[in-house]
Amino acid sequence: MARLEPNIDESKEWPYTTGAYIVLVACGLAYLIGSLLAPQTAATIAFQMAPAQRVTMQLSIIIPVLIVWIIALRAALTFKNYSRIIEGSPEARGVGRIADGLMWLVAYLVLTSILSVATQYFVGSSWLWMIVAIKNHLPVIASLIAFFLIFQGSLTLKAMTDANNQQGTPVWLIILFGIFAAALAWLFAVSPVDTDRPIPIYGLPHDVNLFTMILPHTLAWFIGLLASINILNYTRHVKGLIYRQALRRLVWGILSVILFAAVLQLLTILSKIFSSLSLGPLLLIVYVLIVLYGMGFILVHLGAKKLTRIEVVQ
Amino acid sequence: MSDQDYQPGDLYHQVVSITEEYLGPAAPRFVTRQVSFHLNKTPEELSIEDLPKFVEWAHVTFSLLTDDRETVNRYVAEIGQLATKPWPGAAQRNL
Repeated sequence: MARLEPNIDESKEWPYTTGAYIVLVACGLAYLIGSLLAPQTAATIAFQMAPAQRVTMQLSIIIPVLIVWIIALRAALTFKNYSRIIEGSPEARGVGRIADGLMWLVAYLVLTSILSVATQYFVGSSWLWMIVAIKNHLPVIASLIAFFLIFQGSLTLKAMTDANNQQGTPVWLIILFGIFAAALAWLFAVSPVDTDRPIPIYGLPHDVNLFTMILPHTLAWFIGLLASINILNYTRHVKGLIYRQALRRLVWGILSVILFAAVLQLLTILSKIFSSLSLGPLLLIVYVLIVLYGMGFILVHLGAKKLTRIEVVQ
Repeated sequence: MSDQDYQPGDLYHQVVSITEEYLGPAAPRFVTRQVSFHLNKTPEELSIEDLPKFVEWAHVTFSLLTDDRETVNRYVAEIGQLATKPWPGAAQRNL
């Protein structure tokens, strides 16, 4: 008997896939060249590094960051393609929204890095405060859009499961998050403003930042948390042994991406505390974050790939 | 169930119902694809006679979706059982 050969067609791509990669490569080059040619970096000033040391340290961060960008975009695109493959199905709308949210998280990742480099070109300029304000606020907008879209998608998926089995957000979690948000706001409000830095941490007055940066960030994380709970509930109640396995991988990926996006934002907000650390521990924190962030997107990619395979295998 | 209860596509729905336990919301799309690609039929045209070929292909495609042999064998056995299930009126209606 002839051996049966299954047919797998995973070619149904989002039409802007190539464009997305081109934009990412352009941003990557801008980030790489911009970082290396920057006239004055915070690291050089703070740690008084020799030029060769400075380049080595920069490359040791830039290269892993660029790798994470590629992994993140690939993961988001795999999920986006999956949402296109299941177009017309009941879960397509929710999956599509989550895919859009992931694309915005990639945008957040790229914006954060590029804008940080851009500020270094404005040291001593009267524009510096404005550029720093843009650097702090543009990623907040990207993050809010990303988490809001993921939340919207999660609501659609949650609505598909049996209403009798649906669980709400645990009250203790809301209370815990409320305490965390209040503590963060208080910590930010009482922390002294470091005015000696060549590149200021915040572009706007300290009190204004509480409402334009800290609260929107906290809101974004809360929305992300609610989205995660909704997606987990969907995973628990949807039918399908193999489908759930693939979905679970994806969910853990999305959860870790949301978590590390939040941690990254938290570190940026509390960078005053970390600026007192020496270079070694600081780099270790950066590397751990980069690796964990990348792993989250790898899980998203693997989960989305398996879900896609279920839809295309013949 | 009487003969009158049987409609074209009943077997397809049974196959989808079993597949849903493994592939969840992807099940109808999976079964429709297998029927159309390997049997050159519409879901309504799926008949008992097609089940051996469907099972053969299901075994191959499921093996690509999970490494768990037990899951693959259980699914294939459940689909295979449909062929031995009494289907009133099946002969007349070519179910």
